Amino acid sequence: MDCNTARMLIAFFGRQGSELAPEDAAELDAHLAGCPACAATVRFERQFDDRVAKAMLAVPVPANLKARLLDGVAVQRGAWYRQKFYAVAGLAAAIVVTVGAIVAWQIQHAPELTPAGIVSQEDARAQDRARFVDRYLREHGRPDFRPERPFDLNQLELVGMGDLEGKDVPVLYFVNGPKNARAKVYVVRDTDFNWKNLPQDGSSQPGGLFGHQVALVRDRERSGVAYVVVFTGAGLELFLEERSPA
Amino acid sequence: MGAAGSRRGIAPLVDEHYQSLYRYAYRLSGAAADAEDLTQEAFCKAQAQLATLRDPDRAKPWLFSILRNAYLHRARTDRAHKQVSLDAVGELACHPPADVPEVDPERLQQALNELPEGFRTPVILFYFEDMSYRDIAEQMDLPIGTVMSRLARAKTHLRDRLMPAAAQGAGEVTRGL
Repeated sequence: MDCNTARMLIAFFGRQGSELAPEDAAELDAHLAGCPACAATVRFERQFDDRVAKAMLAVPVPANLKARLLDGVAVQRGAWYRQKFYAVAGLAAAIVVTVGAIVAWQIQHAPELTPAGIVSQEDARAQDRARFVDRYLREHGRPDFRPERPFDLNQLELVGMGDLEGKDVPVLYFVNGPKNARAKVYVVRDTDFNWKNLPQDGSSQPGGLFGHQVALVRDRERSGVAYVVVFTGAGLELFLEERSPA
Repeated sequence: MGAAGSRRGIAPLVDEHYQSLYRYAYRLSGAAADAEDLTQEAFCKAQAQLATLRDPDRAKPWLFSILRNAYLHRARTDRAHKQVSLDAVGELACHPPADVPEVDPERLQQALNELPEGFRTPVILFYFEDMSYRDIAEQMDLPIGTVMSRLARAKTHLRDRLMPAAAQGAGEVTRGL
């Protein structure tokens, strides 16, 4: 190693020999052992570094600095907590105002209940059911549902096809919940069935193990269409519309 | 919030590090009032960012980094220092004096003030904190080679200012490092 390389290494790795790679450090040591000029440079550099390091630390720390610093961070902490509190309080107030506004709006815009309105709604539902039944019967080749004695369509639970004496016919299921009574209304045509043995006067005929009764209700418009009603309960009237006494 | 940092709070960190942080701030800024303001700002920021301190053993470099960033933020709007060009790295003296006199802290500060921040910070960390090149590089987010180069230039400047007799004994100037 020549003097230029040695001084370059000293310049870059002067103070902390450990920063130098082991092989470079060994070469530098060997050079310094035989070169008084470079050895003097190293001594100078180390002394210079020590003097600068000592001067660097010679900074008088003001009295009470620690107390002032702690006061400063305490003030900042207080400000932070206040800010946090105001933020949370503001958010809570905003939530309360928003919820209050929503509730007030809901109260203002709540639908008004009137007897006429409720009746009208129920009528509309019943009409909807009647229309649905008519559409279903038409789809299965039957006329509209027009029994001489009108059934209470509010009790209608289901419309479908059912088996009657081996033939699929449209059937309407009625349930009278309060009276615990059920009825199946088969829609029949005289081309499919002969109903002369059923009671023709609208009365019911009891029979069977489970108290089923059978009644025939005629269509009020077509003589070739009738409704065979199989039901349980006190009577066929349970499934018919209530008529106001004349 | 970092569990260790948040449980301890900022007070123990102030107690443990305020002196070295203040001295660092003083050497960076060159004025006692600025140093105190910077130290206060650093501890306030540290308090707000305490969650990011994962390892309490790394509190000191963490605080130094916060302080330096605070200083840099101020320095961007306040470029009052007259700075010298450091394009050259002087070679070491061929025949240095045998005895090196004590360095006057005030003269040292004047010499530091003349250095651009990018050179002043590594030389302060190098002498003041006895940091390795690798630590300085990490602290300043610079390649280690850049740190070595800047340190060599900054030390040359200090030598020129503080030991003019030794500088006169130096050889040719190496440029472009």
